Amino acid sequence: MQRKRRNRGKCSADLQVCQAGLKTCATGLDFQRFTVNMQNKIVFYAPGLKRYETSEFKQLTPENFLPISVTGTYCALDCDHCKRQLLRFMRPATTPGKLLETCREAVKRGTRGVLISGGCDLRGSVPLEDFFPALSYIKNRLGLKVFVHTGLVGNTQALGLKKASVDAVLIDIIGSDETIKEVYHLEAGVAHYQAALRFLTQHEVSIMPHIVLGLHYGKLRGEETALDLVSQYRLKALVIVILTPLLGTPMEAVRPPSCKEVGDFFKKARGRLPATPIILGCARPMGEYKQEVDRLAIDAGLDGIAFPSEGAVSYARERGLEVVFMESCCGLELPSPCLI
Amino acid sequence: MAKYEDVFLPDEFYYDHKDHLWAKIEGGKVRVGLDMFGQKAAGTAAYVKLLPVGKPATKGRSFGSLEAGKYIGPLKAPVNGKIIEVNQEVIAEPRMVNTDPYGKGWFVVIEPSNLEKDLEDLVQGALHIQTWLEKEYKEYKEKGLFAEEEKK
Repeated sequence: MQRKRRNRGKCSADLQVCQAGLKTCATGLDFQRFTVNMQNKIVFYAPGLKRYETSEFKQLTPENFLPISVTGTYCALDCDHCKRQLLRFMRPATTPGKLLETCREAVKRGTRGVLISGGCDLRGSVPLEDFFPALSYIKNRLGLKVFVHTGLVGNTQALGLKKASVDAVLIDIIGSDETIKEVYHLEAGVAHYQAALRFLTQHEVSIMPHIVLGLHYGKLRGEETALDLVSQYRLKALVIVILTPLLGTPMEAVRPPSCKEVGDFFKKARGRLPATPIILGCARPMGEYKQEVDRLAIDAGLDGIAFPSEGAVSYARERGLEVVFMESCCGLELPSPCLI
Repeated sequence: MAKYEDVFLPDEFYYDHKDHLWAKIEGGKVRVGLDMFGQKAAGTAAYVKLLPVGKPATKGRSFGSLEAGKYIGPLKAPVNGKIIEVNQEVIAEPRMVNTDPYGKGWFVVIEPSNLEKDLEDLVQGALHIQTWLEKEYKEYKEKGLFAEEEKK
C-alpha cells in the first residue's frame, strides 16, 4: 500500500482509462483518483458555516455562504443525534418574507450562496412548500446559489423544487428501518427515502445525497444499503459525513465508527460510484480522528473534503494531487482566490 | 467588569482585539485564555491542541488550535515569550473553554520577553474594553457570526 501511495501520480504516462471511468496504471499500480472529468484533483471546501483557518487554507469571506433555517430551532422529530443543536448555528427565517429579507441583506454583504435548511415535521420533511416562490426569487432574481435540505420529499415537493430552480437538494439517505425509527423517531422506512430519490430524479432536480456513517449510535447499520440506493440514481455528488457526538444529545458519549470502518466505506463508495464526485462533508468528529479520516479520504480517492484538518492539504499534495480551494458548500462551484 | 448583552469581560485583563484571547498578568507571567465573547462566537469547544512547555510563543502566531462548533483555527499568542505552563485539563475537557472561560478554561502561561511593548496594542482599561465590546458585539450580530436563537 505504501508503494502505491508513493508512486501515485508518478507514472501518469502509463495511465489508461477503463470504461467505467477508472484510471488504471499499465504497471499494475492501482490509481484510484478519478472523477467524471478525469482530473487528478481534490477540492477543499470551507463554507461559511463556521470560521475556519489552518496553516494551509484560510477562509477569507465567512459570509460567502449562509445557512438558513426556515423553522428556526424547531424540529418535530428531535432526532437522537442532533436534538436541534445543528439548527442553532443557522440564521432563522421562518416566513418567506423573512427569508427574502435575510437573503437580500446577505447579497449586500457579498454572500453568493445559501443553504436552506430547517427542522422536520412529523413526516420527516422540512416544511418548504410555502417557501417555493421565495426560493425561486432568491435563485433567479437575487442570483444566489440555492442548496436545500429537504428531508423526505413527495412528488409535489419535488416538482416545487424543480420549479424553484434550486441548484441541488441535500438529503440524508438512511438505509435501515431501525435507524429511521429509533434515531429519527420517524414512522417511515427505507422505501420512503428511495421514493424521495425517485421523485427528485423524475423532476430532474440535482441531488446530493448525504450518508451519515455511524448514525445508529455509532454503529454501521444501513450505510451500505443507502449506498446501494443512491447508486441507482444520477447524482450531482455523494456527500459522506460521520456521526459527531454532540453535547446535550443522547449520543454525546457514543463512540463514532472506527477509522478503519470509515476508510473501508470510502473505498466501497468510490468503487460503486466511479464517475460521481464524492465529498467528505462538514460533519465528522474533530481532532486526531479527523486528521486520520481525512487522510483515508485522500487515499481512497474522494474528490473533495470540507473543512480539511491541519496537514490534509500537504498530504494531498504529497500524493501528487492538484489542490483547489473553495469557500463554499461542497458541490457549489465558487472559485476562490484563497490559495496559499 | 465590562458587560454587554450576555457577555462579561473583566477589567483587569488585556484582550487581543481581533482574536478575543485574554491575557492576565500574574507576577510578571501571562496567563492566556479565550474571552467570553470569543467562546460565544466559537461555539462549543470540542478539541484543543497546545504547544508543549518550553516552546517559544510569538505574538500574533499560533501557540495551539481550537476546534469548536463555529470555529476551526489557531490560537494566537497575545505576547512574545516562552510557554512555561500548559493546561492539560482543558486539553482533556475542551468544554471548560465555554463553562469557565476566565477560570479553568485557560490555555497556557507565557513567560514574556517584551511585556511592556507587547501589551501596548491589546485592549485594556475599563472604558476601552466596554466600548470595544459593544462595537464587536454589534458587528458580530449584524454579520450573523453568533449562533442565534429564533426570536419569538
